Amino acid sequence: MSDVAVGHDHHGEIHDPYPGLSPHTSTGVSHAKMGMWIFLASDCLLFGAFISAYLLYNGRAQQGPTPEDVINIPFTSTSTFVLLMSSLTMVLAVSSAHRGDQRRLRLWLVTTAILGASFIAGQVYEFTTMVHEGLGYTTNIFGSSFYSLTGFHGVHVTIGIMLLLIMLGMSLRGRLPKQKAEVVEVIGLYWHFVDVVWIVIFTVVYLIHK
Amino acid sequence: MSDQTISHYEQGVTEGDYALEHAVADKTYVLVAVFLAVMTGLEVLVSYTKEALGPFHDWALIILMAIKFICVCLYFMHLKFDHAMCKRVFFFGLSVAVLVYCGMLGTFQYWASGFR
Repeated sequence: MSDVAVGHDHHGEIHDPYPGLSPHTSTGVSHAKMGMWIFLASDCLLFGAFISAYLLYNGRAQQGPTPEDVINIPFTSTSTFVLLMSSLTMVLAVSSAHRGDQRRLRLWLVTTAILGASFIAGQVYEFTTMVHEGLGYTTNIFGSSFYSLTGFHGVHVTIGIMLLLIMLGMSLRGRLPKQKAEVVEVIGLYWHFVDVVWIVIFTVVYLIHK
Repeated sequence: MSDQTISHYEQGVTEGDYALEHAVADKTYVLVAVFLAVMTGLEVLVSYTKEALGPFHDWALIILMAIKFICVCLYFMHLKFDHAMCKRVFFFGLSVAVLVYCGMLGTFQYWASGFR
């Protein structure tokens, strides 16, 4: 992905950070980055559907466990903290990629993947506990909407972890030089989006409705 | 928050300057992360004060959530420093989502009973 965007300096002249590598784009933003932003904008609608369905169905369960019975705030707060910190390590990975510091890039990518995996492990534990407490996917309308929303987010995190591992492999093979730092930046955008979506889910599902 | 991470494209800096600029920015990222952690702690604290805050409880949580959301978008996703087009595309999608689903919830008379 060599289509790094070309910008203008204070004199209005074209500044190309990587001469010979940057095709000019009509938007001033590289195609890869613009594509990711458009995808994230459309993903807002997808998550919006799940969140609004949860809001609509919450409190209408006729039977079975309710949010008050099964939600564990201290545990989920820890998971939230872990995911927030993974955003920090991701942005540090992007920063290292731009500097061409391969050693730190790998370190931060591995750390981000481990934090993401810890979040998923926490989610698996949470789901297992809830099932043991009697809340299955089809137990009631709360269970269906809760598992759909948080599970869908979990799938996003899992895809993010896979992308991080692919980037780690690319870096180990020397395929992520400084000139291709934008690859890390674009995947970083996806990772941060997963984080901002969780910020909303944590407040709406766990804190307001507990 | 520091504004030292203004886009290198906008500034027309050299690659060497860019590396230096990001070394400074790393500290900004750590500060933002600490701020987000504190805000999360505050959110959890507020969630246990439902009786004390009454009707303001839900709004306090939503405001804290919005601050965290904007912080991640502006600093970690670089929307504060990146090309304005990225900001427009993302916030357009977000605004459409908010309007569509608020409208949808409205048709089910969801807002008549607050957040319940």
